[in-house]
Amino acid sequence: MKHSLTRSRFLAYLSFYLLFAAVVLCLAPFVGGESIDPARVLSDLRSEQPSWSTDTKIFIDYRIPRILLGFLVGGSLALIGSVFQVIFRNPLAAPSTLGVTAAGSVGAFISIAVPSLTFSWGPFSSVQLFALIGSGLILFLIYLIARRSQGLAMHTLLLAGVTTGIFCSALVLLIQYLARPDRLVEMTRWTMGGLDIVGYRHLAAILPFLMPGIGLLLMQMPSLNHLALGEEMALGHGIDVASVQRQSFWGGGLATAAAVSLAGPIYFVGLIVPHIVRRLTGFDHRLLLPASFLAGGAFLVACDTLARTLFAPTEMPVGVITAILGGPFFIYLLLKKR
Amino acid sequence: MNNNLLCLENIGYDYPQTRWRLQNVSLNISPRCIVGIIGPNGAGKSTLLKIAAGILQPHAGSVELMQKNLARLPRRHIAQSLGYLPQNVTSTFDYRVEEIVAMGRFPHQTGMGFLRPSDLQLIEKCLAQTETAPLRHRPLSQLSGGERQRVFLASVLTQQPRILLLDEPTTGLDLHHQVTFFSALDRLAHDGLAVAVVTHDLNLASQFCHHLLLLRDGQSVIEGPPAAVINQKILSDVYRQSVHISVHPVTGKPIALPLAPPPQSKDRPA
Repeated sequence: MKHSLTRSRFLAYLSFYLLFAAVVLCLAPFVGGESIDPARVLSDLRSEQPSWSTDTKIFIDYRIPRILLGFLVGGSLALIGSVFQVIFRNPLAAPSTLGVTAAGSVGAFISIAVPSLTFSWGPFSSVQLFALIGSGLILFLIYLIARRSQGLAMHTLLLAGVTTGIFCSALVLLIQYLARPDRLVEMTRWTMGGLDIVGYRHLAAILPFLMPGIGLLLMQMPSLNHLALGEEMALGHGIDVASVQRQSFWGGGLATAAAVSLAGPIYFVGLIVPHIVRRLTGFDHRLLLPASFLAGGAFLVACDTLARTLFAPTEMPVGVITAILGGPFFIYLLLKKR
Repeated sequence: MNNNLLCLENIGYDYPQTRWRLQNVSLNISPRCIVGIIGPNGAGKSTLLKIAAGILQPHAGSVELMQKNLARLPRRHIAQSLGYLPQNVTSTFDYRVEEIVAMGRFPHQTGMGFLRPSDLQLIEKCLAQTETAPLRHRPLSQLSGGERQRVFLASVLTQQPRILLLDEPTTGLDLHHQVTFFSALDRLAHDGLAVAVVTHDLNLASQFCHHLLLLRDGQSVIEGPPAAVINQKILSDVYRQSVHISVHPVTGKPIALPLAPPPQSKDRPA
């Protein structure tokens, strides 16, 4: 069996992606506007906290949380994309397809536009909390629209998601139009997406949403190949299609909402990384899902590292880099026939 | 006689917002027997087959798979004994033939479903049975219609089903591929499978099926051996098309030939 995924081939491919992710994750924290001396950080970490040098403080409070967030967000987006592209049977499906991304932006914009809505609640910032609420409302709404006695009507879900997305984008423009001009900078910055967080509080706040989402999606690994052959063939092969659809919807929705609430809308990773991984190691979703997660995470961390360094001390929005780098690379892969 | 593997009794089904309905149709499927489900467009053939496969839930009547209520069985359990090949299967991704065929092992696997040596043997056997072994390394996009159908059949066969349900498997195939496909079904039935096949080809059905069920407008018209169903009066009435019944000079099975009105212009340019 030359083409079927065996355990050994699965492990070999996965180690390749793990290695790639590990290299990116180990290099990224030491690159940046302030170059950090790894030896000093390592020696500092063995001593008491008050005596730490500035290098170590930057490393612990800025670089590490930022890289963790980038890896989790990039990985989740790519994972969601690879699941959505098969359950919607549409190569253009992406995390933003459900309209959750735009709904999160509406929530965030409301919080930015209304000064009295700026507060901190537990580990959440108000922007984060409102983005989560906006995404959650839209998730429930389109679930109710697409729900059937057995599973979900995927075409309805796709149309409802895209339509609510457009509707929410209009709301975003309306809020921008009505908002005080001094608020516009912050709004524009949010729409570009960014991973610049300080400390671990906000990161910890999204984990209760992000982790179950990732878990639900990874649980579908053995089933998704069959859905590529259509719902009826999948049912014939013994797949519980209704539960795969429901779990993928809630898993993808939760993870998107969590990622957007902290990093803003980051496009492109969720669309393109799954296609790149398929070109590299095939269409088997048992490999594609974990591989997309690792590759997507590493890709976003790499892009963010460039965003931090290319025009240092100024930072570029990471969303700009992902599209400018990823686009031509994917076109190159399309031109170069396998 | 209770060696029926799959029993459909007095099945009723309504589609929302139409007056069309499937009414009181019964069907029994037993080992070593090929049942042909025939009838005009919109007779309810595919609907009946989907109900038999548990894809649709009937609104009336019962479906029993080996004496158990089909609606209560988990999908994976059903797939261990029942193989279903839908009409016009397409794939979103360009899998290789080997990958497609191996997917049929799902109901017998646990966890990630990596293939065991016993799976590999079975896959070889199914590739051989469907004469798809030479295609094994090809991607789906590089197969002809007949090859694709045989590959999807092989995928269903690796489920090791005792019952095989096929929805118009030979539509769009040329003469040779139609016959080889039905010959493969014949061998499978000979080896003990229970087969039900929806088809529009009355003559193939007459040659290969042991039992025919003729449907019209969601109701059963007649059920029985081909000699009883392939009948001039019945078919002319059901299809609203005059037919002439003859006998296959070699096999002795009945064949139905449409009686078309003679061409209007005799000297049409060649």
